[in-house]
Amino acid sequence: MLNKNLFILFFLTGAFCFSQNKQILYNYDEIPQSLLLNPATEIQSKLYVGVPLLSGVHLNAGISGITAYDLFAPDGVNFNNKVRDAIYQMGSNDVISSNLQMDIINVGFENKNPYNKVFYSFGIYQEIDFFMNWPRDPALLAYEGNINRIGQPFDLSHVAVEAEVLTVYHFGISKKIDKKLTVGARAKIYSSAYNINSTRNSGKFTTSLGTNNVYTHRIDTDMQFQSSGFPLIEDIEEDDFEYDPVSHIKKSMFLGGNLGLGLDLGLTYHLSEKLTLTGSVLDVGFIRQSKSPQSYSFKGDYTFEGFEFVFPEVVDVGGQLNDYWQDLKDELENMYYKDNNAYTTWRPIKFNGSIEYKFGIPYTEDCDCLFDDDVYMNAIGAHIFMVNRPTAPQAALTVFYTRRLFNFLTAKATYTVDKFSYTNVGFGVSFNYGNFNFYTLADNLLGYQNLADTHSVSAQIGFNYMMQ
Amino acid sequence: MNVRYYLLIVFIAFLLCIGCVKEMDFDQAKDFEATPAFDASLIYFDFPALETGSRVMNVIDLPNDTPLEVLDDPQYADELESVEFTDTTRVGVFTESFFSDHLVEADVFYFFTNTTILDYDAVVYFLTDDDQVVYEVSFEVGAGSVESPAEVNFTDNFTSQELTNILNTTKIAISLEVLNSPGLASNSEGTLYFNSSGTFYFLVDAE
Repeated sequence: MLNKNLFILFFLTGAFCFSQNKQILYNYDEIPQSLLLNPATEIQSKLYVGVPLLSGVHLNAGISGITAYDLFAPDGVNFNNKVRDAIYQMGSNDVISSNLQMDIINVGFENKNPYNKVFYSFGIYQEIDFFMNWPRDPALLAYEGNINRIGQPFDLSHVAVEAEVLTVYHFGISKKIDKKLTVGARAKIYSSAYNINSTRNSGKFTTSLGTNNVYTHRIDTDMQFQSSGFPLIEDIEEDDFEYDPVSHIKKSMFLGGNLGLGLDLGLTYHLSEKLTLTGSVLDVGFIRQSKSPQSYSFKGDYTFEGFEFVFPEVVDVGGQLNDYWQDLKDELENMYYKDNNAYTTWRPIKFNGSIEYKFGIPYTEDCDCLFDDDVYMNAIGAHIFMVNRPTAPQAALTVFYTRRLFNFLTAKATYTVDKFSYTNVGFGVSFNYGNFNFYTLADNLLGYQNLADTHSVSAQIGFNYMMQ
Repeated sequence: MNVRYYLLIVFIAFLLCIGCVKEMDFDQAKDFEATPAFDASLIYFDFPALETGSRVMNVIDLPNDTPLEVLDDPQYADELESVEFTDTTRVGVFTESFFSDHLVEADVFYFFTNTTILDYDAVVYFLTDDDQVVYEVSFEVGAGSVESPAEVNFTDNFTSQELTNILNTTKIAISLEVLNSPGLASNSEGTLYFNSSGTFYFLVDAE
């Protein structure tokens, strides 16, 4: 029986899943967490201390193709018609991806040497990352069988999934080289609690009209599923099996997980006083998956036309049982391999780039004591984001407008075009009250009228203690 | 400044108002049904008349290289009245829980093509582990020729009780009886071809 709850969970996960674009936060230099998106961001602060666990909480959700509302709207339409439409509508390019990131500790400070300005920042954050390609052909095979597609292959490469639960320890520096250029780098140690990886799959399953029998079934496959951090299948089958995921995650948070190294690089370059270019490459790194790794692969080429009867010698009637069935099972089992070797995964590399134009000197009637001389009221610009995913890179293009509303409040509006949506309007505000900074950022505001009907949504909040 | 405060209040009000999720009816998932159907090849064989001849020689204990004409000899008439061959295979799919839980209908297709001058009786048996017959179907395949083959096609449909019966199947056997082997002596051309396939209809629901 199909587990109903799993089914619902699957679609909910899809609806509230996350991609990784943080287009509102990127280069928002009022907010220190923007350093995590570009280590060369010129932070407007000499010291900041993020409120533990609350300095940066980010959720980002995306599903292309359909939404949860398409399926579960109480519209009187037969549910199975909606499921069928969804299955036929979603293509192998549709993705369900998700990212959750939570700062545990985040601290940054500027050194005291005015002739050699360097900004240091370090911290720990927890990240959950999930990506799945819609497995169109395998889903169709399961949903309608092979009878409507005789002679047409089912493409097994549509199966692609990767997921990671990890803790990241990071330390970054950004150094002002001269008036124009700031460069930055951040080193990262990854400690992964769980990894799932099945991203290099290929193969086809085809049923075609046969020559020796009615149909020829051919499977030609090179598929692999890897995981680490999960209990071993053979252990689960033991009677005295015990597993405590909480202690497993706790251990991994203190560098007891699968370890890896990574690097972020960034730069900020002022073409002129008003025009600025920025760029960053994030998570160039790997994780060695060595804690209870499990690999399953299904590889080979097998053609089945049915069981061929050879009618062995008549004298043996009744005594002989040809095990053609066992032969078939043996052939298929020979294509299946399992091992517990450690493997290496690459983090999804992210790229950000932006161009920004500032304008509008503050108008003040009495004095300009509230504003620094070089602070502009407005900035407009464009931002491009790319993340490397197993099937193809995902990209997003954003135009933004930043406005200083008061000396304690700036706001940023964005419009983003990506795979999930052409109507993604985002808005963010950053408040400074005394030495406290609070920010909240959300995109896909048009979709907030009905969250369930959006293809993507992201939100981020955070609190910091800051000294100017 | 007043205008700015006003804008700020409007913005905060806006933030409070957004973020609605329209009502959704997750109970609909209980209605979920998928009805996949699979075509699969089952059993096939090609049994040349010449092969029949050499098997018959074995039955009556003649060396394999004996000319087929010998079969015309009346002394073998009794033994040749009918010669039977059988073959059996284990088939594990019917007892898989996916079949017993979700199979709602099955069609099994049989195709005989006879280009030999021999007449055949064929019986297909579905058997349980302890050789109980849960289903059988027999065919009379008349003589044909390479130029004009004799064809026997048959489709059996399984629903309700018949379907339940075949779910206990763990073996499929075919017995093939050659009714007029002496004819082989004058003509050993041709082959008896057998193809078979099944179409299996499943119902997967949320219950």
